[in-house]
Formats: sequence, C-alpha cells, structure tokens
Amino acid sequence: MAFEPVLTKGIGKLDLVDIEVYESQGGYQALRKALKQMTPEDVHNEVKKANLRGRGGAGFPAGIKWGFLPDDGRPRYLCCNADESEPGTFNNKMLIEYNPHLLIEGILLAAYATKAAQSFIYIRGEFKRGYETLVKALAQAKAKGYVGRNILGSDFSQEITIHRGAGAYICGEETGLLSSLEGGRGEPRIKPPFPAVSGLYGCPTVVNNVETLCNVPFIVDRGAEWFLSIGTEKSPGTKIFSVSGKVRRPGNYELPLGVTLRELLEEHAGGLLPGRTLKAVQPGGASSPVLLPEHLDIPLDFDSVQAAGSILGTAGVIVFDDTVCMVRTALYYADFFSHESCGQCTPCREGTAWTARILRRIEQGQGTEHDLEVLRSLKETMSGTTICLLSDFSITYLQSVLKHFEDEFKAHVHGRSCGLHAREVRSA
Amino acid sequence: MSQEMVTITVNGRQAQVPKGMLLVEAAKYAGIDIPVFCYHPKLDPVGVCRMCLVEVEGQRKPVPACTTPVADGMVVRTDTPVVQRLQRGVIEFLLLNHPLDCPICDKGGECPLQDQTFRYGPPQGRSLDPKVRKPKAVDLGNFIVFDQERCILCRRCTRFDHEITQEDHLVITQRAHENRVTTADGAPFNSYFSGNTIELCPVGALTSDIYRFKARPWDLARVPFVCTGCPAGCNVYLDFRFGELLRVISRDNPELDGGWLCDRGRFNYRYVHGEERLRRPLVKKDGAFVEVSWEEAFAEIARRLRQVRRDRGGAAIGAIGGGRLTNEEAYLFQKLVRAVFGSPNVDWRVGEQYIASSREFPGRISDISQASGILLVDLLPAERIPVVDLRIRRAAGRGRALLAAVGPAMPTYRPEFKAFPAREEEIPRVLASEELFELYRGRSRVVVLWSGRGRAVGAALAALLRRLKEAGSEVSLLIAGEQANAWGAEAMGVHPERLPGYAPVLHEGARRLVEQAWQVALPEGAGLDTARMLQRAAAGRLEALYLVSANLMATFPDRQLVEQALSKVPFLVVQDLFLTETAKHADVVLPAAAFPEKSGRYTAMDGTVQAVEQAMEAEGDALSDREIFARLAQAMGVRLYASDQELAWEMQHLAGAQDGRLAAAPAEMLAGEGEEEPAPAAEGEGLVLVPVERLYAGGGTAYFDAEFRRARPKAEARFHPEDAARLGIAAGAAVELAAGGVSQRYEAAVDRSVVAGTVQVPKGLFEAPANAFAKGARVAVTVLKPVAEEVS
Repeated sequence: MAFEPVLTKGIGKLDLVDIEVYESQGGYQALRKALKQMTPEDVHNEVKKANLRGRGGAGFPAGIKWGFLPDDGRPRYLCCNADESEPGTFNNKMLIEYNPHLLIEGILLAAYATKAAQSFIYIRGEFKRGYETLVKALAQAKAKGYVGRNILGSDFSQEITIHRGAGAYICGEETGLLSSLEGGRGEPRIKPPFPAVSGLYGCPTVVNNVETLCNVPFIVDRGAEWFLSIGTEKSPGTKIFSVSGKVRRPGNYELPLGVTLRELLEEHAGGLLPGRTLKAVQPGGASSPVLLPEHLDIPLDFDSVQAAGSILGTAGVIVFDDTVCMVRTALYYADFFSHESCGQCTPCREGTAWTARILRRIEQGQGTEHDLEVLRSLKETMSGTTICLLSDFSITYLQSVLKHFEDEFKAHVHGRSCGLHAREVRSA
Repeated sequence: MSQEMVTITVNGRQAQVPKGMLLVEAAKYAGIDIPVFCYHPKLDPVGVCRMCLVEVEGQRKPVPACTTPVADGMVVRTDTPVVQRLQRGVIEFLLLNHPLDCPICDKGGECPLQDQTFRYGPPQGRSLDPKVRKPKAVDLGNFIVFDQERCILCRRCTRFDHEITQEDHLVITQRAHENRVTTADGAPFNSYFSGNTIELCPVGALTSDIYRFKARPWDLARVPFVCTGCPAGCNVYLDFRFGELLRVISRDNPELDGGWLCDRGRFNYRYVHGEERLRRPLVKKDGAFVEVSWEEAFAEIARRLRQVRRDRGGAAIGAIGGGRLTNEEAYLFQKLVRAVFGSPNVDWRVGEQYIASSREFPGRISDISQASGILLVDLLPAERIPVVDLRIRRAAGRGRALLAAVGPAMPTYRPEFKAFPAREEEIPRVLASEELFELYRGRSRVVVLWSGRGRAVGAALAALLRRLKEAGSEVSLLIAGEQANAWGAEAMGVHPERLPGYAPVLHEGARRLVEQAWQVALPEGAGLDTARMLQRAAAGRLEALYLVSANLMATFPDRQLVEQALSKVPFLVVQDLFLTETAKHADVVLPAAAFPEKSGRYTAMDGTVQAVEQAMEAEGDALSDREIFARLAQAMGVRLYASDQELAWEMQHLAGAQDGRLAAAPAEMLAGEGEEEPAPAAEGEGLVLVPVERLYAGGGTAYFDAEFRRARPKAEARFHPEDAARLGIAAGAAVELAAGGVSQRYEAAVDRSVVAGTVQVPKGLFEAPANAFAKGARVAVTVLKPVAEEVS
C-alpha cells in the first residue's frame, strides 16, 4: 500500500489556500482541541514526546528547544524561518504556497505552547507568490478568529507578522534572521547566548522551520504515539524530500524518514535518465558531502546519513550522473557561498572568495597541484573558526569531492579538462 | 564593592582575574598577549576578525578570546599547534588581497597588521591569484581618506561611529568579499570625531588627509602635550619631523579625554607653521603696518603707556585677555597691568561668559560617566567641548543618566533627552521651575554643564543646585568656558574685582598681601570689566587698550561697540598669532608664540592643572606671552619676576593649586555680584536670532589654517521646519536677516532641532558676524533667491 502523505495530503488536488477547504479537511481542529482541552504545557509535552526533530537542517528536537526559554518575565517571540534558500531545497516553498493554513495553525500551536507574545514569519524575499499566499491566508484566518485577540473565545491571543527578507541566504541562519528582522544587516550573532535566552530584541525567542511547525497540528491532533509510529525510532515522522538533478521526475516527495535512498530515487523520482549511471548524490543541500552509488541502500534519516559521512540537512537531494563534471559542481557551490557569506568573519569572507578563485582556475585548466593542496588545507582554517557555520558548510562538499573524485580534479589540472560538459551547471 | 576574582590558567600560568572579564584582557594578567584586530578595549567586542581564537579545555571548538568571559578554573592555551595554525590562517586570509604597500603606507612601522604578521603570520603566502584591486583614495569626509585595498574589515571605525559618537555615518555595505566601509547614503563623514577612526584603524586604511604621505612614523619625534583648543584639556602627543609639527594624536587620559580627540584638536595644527602667522612685531606708521624689532616695539609701547599714566593716570589704560594663556602668563598679565601699567582695568572675559568655575558645586569631567542626571544649561557641548560630549552621549545612551537641556538652542543626541527650549532671558524661570527640580530630585549624582553666560542664570542655577543638594543629591557644576584657560585666568586674578586667588580687590588684607609680594602699591579701587572698558573707549574716555589673544571683533556680543572702541582708543596694542580683524585696528601688534612653542600650565574646565613643556622653536621672532610681558615690563623699568622659581612661589602663595587643581570661584561670584545685567531682549515681531557656536568657526586658528579652513561652517541660517514653511524658505535658499539697521545674507537650512520661533546663525564668522546684530534681536527674513527647482 502506498504511503499516505501527511503534510502534503491534498496538495495538487484541493485548493487548501482557501480556508473553507482547509477546514473541511480537518483544518484548525488541532488548534480548537488545544485551546479547549490542553494547557500550553500539554501541547509542549506532546511535541517533546513525539521527538519532532527540526526540519531546517540540524535535526534538533523542537520540544527540547522550546524548553530552553527562560521564564523571567520578558516577552517571548516565535519566529518561523521561511527563508528557505538552500540550493536544491524547495519543500518549504511548496508548503507555503499550497498549504499556508497548516503553517499558520502550526505557528499558533507553537506560540500557544511556548507562550509567545507575538509570532513572525520571516519569508525569503524571492518567494513573492508564497508571501502573497500567506498574506491572503492570514487575512482569512484573522477573519475567522483563528488569529488575533482571544482566539476561539479562549484567553489565548496571537498576532502573526509576515516579514519579507531581502534575498540573503545567511538570513536562514537563525541569528542572522533575527538581526535582519530587527532591521539590521543579516549577520549571525555570537552564540551563546542562544536565541532561546536572548533572541529577537534581546528576548527569549524560538526559531522553527516551516516544515517543523507544519508537523505540530498533526501531533496535537493525532497524538505523539501516532507520530512515533512513522519513520524510524530516532527520526520519527515524515520528511518532504526535494529531489533535483539527474532524475526523471524531480520534485517533492513526502515519505517516512528512513526511506532508502534507492527507493526515493528509483520508485518515486523515476530513476535516472536513460543510459546514465549514478555518480553521486547530495542528500541534504549544497553543503552536504556526497553519497556514492554504494550508499543507495542507506535509510534517509538523520543518524544513518550522518553515519554514512554526510548530513540529511534540508533533505534537498541532488543527483549527479556520469555526465556531470564534479569540478564544475564544486565551482558552482563555491561561487554560491562566496556570494552569500555575510562577510563579517575573516575566514569566511576571504576563504569563500579564495576557494572560488582557485576552483575557477582549475576548472579552466589553469590549476596546479599546489592549488589542490591549498584547497585541502582550507578545512583547517575555515571549519569551526567562525561565528556561524556557513564557512564550514562552504567547504564540506568540496572536501568530499576532492576525496572521492580526485581524478577529475587531476584531469583538470593536468589535462585542461575532464571531458565532461555539464551544461546544466550554471554559474551561481 | 570588591570585585569577585576567579582563577584561570593560560599556557600553564595561573592568574587571579576579575570574574566575567573577557579572556583577551584576563590573559594579560597571566602575562600572555593574545593577538587581535577587531577587538579594542574601548569598543564592544564583536568577534569577527577571528585572530584571537584560543583553545579552552572542555570546548569542542576554538573560542574567540575577545567575546568569551572567564570562568573559574578555566584552562586556556594560546600556543598549541591548532591555535598557531588558525593565527597563520587568519593572517594569510587578510593578506590575500592586502596590497602590502607598506613602504609608502602612513601606518607602516606602527601597524598591527605588520606587527602581527611578523609575529604570528605564515612564512610565505600561497596565493597564485593576482590581488584584487580596489579604490585607493576615497575621500570619506573633510579629513579622512580611505584606502579600501588596505581595509581588513575589522569594523572598529563603524563601531566607534555607532557606539561612541552614536552618529552612524559609517556603514558596511555589500556582502562577503565585497564588504566595504562607506558612509550611510553616501553623505560625507564629517563627524567632529572622524579622526579617531584613523587611530583605531589597525591598518593604513583610514588616513589623515593632512598627514598622508608626510612621514615615516619612526622618524617622528614625539612630545606629550595638552590640547589648548577648549577647556576639556585633552591630552595629546605632538609628532615632529625636523622641527615641523606633522601630526597630533591622542594620549589617553581616562579622567579627561578617555582616549578620544575632536577633529579641531586633531587637525587644526598646521597654522602653527602657516604663512599667515605673525613673525615680526608691527607698528602702524601713517596707517600702514611696518615690521620693527622687538626693542622698537617695546620702546613704543612703553613710551605711550608711560605718557598715558603720567597725563591721565593708570586707570586710563585697559587690558583684556588671558583666557587663552597659561596660568603663569595669565598671572603675569594681571601683574603687568596692575603693577607696571598701574591700572585696575584687567579682564579675561572676551565674550558672554562671565564666570569660569564654581567652588560651591565642585566636580570633575569624569563625574559625567557616573552621573544619574545630566543637565545642560545654555550649552551645546559638541560645539564647545566636543570630547566631553562623548561622555554625555555614553552616559545618556546607556540609559543610566537622565539628560535634559535648557537654552535657546537644543543639542542633537541619539538618546532621548528632555528639551526645555528657552530664550536666554527665560532660562532662570525654567531653572526655578518645579518641573525641572522634580526631574532631578533624588538622583544620586547630578552633573550640570553650563556655558557660564548670564548672571541671572548663574543665580538661578545656584538656587536649583542648592535645593537638589538639600534633597540629597551630589551636585557638580562644570562650566565650559569659551576660552581654553578661562578658569586659570579667573583664578590668577585677570578680573577687575578679584586679585589672584579670587581675593576681592577692595579687601584691605588681600591688597596688603599682594602689595607685600609685589613690593608695589596696587592701583586704587576696582577695575572696569570688558564691556565698561569698551564703552569708555568708545566714549573717548580710555587712552590705551592692550589686548592679549582677544579677538573681540569676533567674540564680543556687541560688534559695533568693539569697532567704535577700537577706532576711538588713541593707543591700541594687540598681542596675537595672526593679524585678526581686531589686530588690524592696532597701533602695535606683537607676535605671540603658538601653543607648542611655549611652556606652562593649563587649567581644564574641572580645575585640573596640566603642565606642558615647549615642544618646538617659535616661528620667526614670535615670543611666548610670558616673555613679552617680562620684556615689556623691563622696557618700562620694572622686573616682573626674577626667576621661574620665584614666579612659582608667588603664584602658589597668592593663588595656590592643591592636589593638581586650582581653586574655584567663591559662591558670591556665581550670582555675579556687583555686575551689570545686560539689557533685556527687544520685544517685537520676527524670529528671535540665536547665535550658536560652531566648533570650526572663529576668526583665529580655524580661519588662519590653510588646511583646516575647508571645514569652516558656511554662513547658514537654520530655521525650524514650521517657520521655514510659513516663510516660504527652502533649504539652500539665499535669505537676508535684518534687524535694527543691520542686514546680513545667509544660506537657509531647515533643521528640526532648531527651536520654533528662532533662527540660528553661527557665531564667529566674519563673513556674516552674528554679533553685528543686537543681543536677542528679532529679525525680519527676506528670501533673496529661492532654490532652483530640481530637474528630475
């Protein structure tokens, strides 16, 4: 029997943007249930029990994160991180555009559980359609009394403010997001203090990803036990995998965590293009180290992917076949990161640009063995040396391809090119 | 409250350090130096350069020492292979595109990037790519030239501009390797404090337009000095090359300047060598000045003054000035006037300030930093005592101190402050109001800063401060003088009613003490103050006037009176650095030494006495004021003092300093006893004219400095937006202000900080002298030329 999707159920068939349609599918019932039958602590405990791990990339349990908020009289804030900018990742975008009420309901429940004074959605600037959809949905939710004062006649009140970013990848980093939301430059802050202790305007703040929050209504509605029955023991629930690259049917696929890479690619994404062979897969966005054909049978959950030497990250699965030049992919990402670094930390500001310059030369056949040496050494000075992880992320993929596809780099260095022309790989 | 101490271990060395101190500072207790670029002890840490990464036991990753507070038992290593590799890495990154133009860089030799590359950097660079070229000489403002290639984006400059001055001119734009320092909206970086960024810059990116490419730092001879620009008393170093003053930089005095300088103090020094310096004594013959020898000049003055004394008595001689002199010179000046000229008429006051200190409410500049309440009375601190204003901004900005301002012009601050706009004559009423009293009542430490203008204001202030004191507050009154050493002059008796040490001039015992010390009879009675001397002179009843560093045409509130007095007085001597407007009226002009050319003591606005030693030879034949007084006395047959020791003894005996501070004026002087109150302002139609100080205005050193002159303020009339709208005035329009038969042209500006119903014009601009108008005049405004419509 085919797996029944949870978050994406109805998408493509029903107009869930319309609040009446959403309600007809059981929408806002979880909110009703929580406000009528549950205390904020009950909601919090249910999410904690469900072991809902953050879908933004780090996989940190949301219930535990909520528990870090100090109770010291300062107002608390909830920020929904909708700044989805990771290359190869587009599951938040779909949820926002096609199931906005689910996100709003999730935010309301999280705000209720964390006793937030105010919620914010920080949405990626380029998501114009998503922004407009959210604005429309929020207005409907307000008109229906789901958002605002004394929601559904309860003591619970909540306003949601939608804020558009200005097109910076780094604002997806939670403290960069907060700096930007406050009106400053989108620059990550030194941790500690973590946002839970000192976040937006110096107040306790929870930052959760869109997909994470979208899971909350189901956990409240159906209970933690139900949630734990999906996925693996340590990574329960479903995950929307964004598959892109050299497959027949790229797209979003919501599957239980722990589905194998082979099933995802072969059964759902339609397999490779005719006559091609698999070269490598990035399981979790731009920064994830490559998995190789030998890894096809690993289960895609947070821990198994890590054990295989990569990260599940955003579950943006990017597939490379034998026509792809890995040097060019490395250059593509290097350009991306050297464009997206905020520039405050020396190793990241200078290192990302240097990496791109070297890779460009190598790609053009002007590289040397010395360059490869330098690239390898950068992991020592660019990893673990900066305020946020962008610097680390900017070279993890590079290090993995340098290791697994050294011959392609050598071919570029010694023979001017590897002979592959992956036209699809554009410059960032 | 004693500081809790914790024990840390750095590279195996244990140290007791205050709990919570940042590791970068705490490591110094263990004798370990952690290299930094972005960290600066006077700025909030940001941890961006990553040069200070160290290993801390129990931490997974290296941590930045500049943002990590110490905890008890912390074990730190700064010398491991990992740390060394990271340090080499940061230096390598910073040098990737750094131009390494050290041989021609101003910073070369005193450059943290050079020094740390030498100590911590990799032996060689590994980059095969050519350096990225960037703009090399971007004019950020009047004085700052930016070399973008050298910039390592440590952000010290932007943080200074944000945290310390709170002005936010400088910003970082763009992302990643395209990050660059620039100004917000491209507006010029014309902060009064811009020069501090040059010193903060750990590379040669921010440079002084005046000093750029002038010298190698190791060739400079450095002399510690004190800035004589205003009574803040900031400490400086003067840097010389072959006897030429090339640079002024800060010398941190935490009690006074906190390590900062204003741009006037830092950049207004080239006049010292300027073409326009007076280098020879001048005597007017047949309406034209002729250079003469000192002997000839002294002989002429001696002849004329002796004649006046013989024919009309010493009281027919007047002497004005002293507020810009050293304590010693001020003392000698009044002694010269009283003992040699035989005149009681000597006064340091050249403008509107009538008092320079207050014994009843003593305080220090550093009190501002501890204040819980700050009150500004008739004062724009940024324009008169800029570095002190930084303390006010910090105290108010941290939300610790309540800040309020009373006066005809309001200052501009980023933190909120209570504004009590009041015309000069209304200030006493505001000071007496319950509202103001209630605002400050119960605040533990109240610091009042005042211009020293208006006797009624002084009386009202005294009453308010007494009430606050009775209500339990600790109260300080700091008077920010118009002249750098107003306090010194006042204490040394350059005052018509006070002898040295504030002794009343009519007090028999006091007179006897002075007469014994000087071995001469004092002139009879009290003297005339500046206004009365000028009135007498204008009325033809004063025979001679001797002005010392007193450009009355620019500073005295009634320009017509000065002009009449100077034209009428039969014999005028002016002792100054330049042929000022005032000096042009003189019969004899004496070239005085500039500040680095003389030794002596200056008194800051909180009474702190600071000594300086002559740092360079005087230009031309210029003499120090001290020497001029002594030689003039000699020419008149009197020895003014026998030796420096004798002078020091005499000064200590009559006007002693204690604990490095001069005594302040007694309480009765604050209320201005026995002195005239100026006439009340004219009532009528029109906007009230408010002449305001501008830091870069004035007819002396700012004007006669070819390299500073560019920053002088325009003749600008500032209107409140409502008044501007009502009168149809757009910013940039040419307007004419007229009152009492005087009319002057200004360029209009519209500024929300201007009090509605008033129009502000700068003081001290001879192109449009504000003191040509009567005090408190109401002016009619005529728009001469509206601004041309902008073509879109």
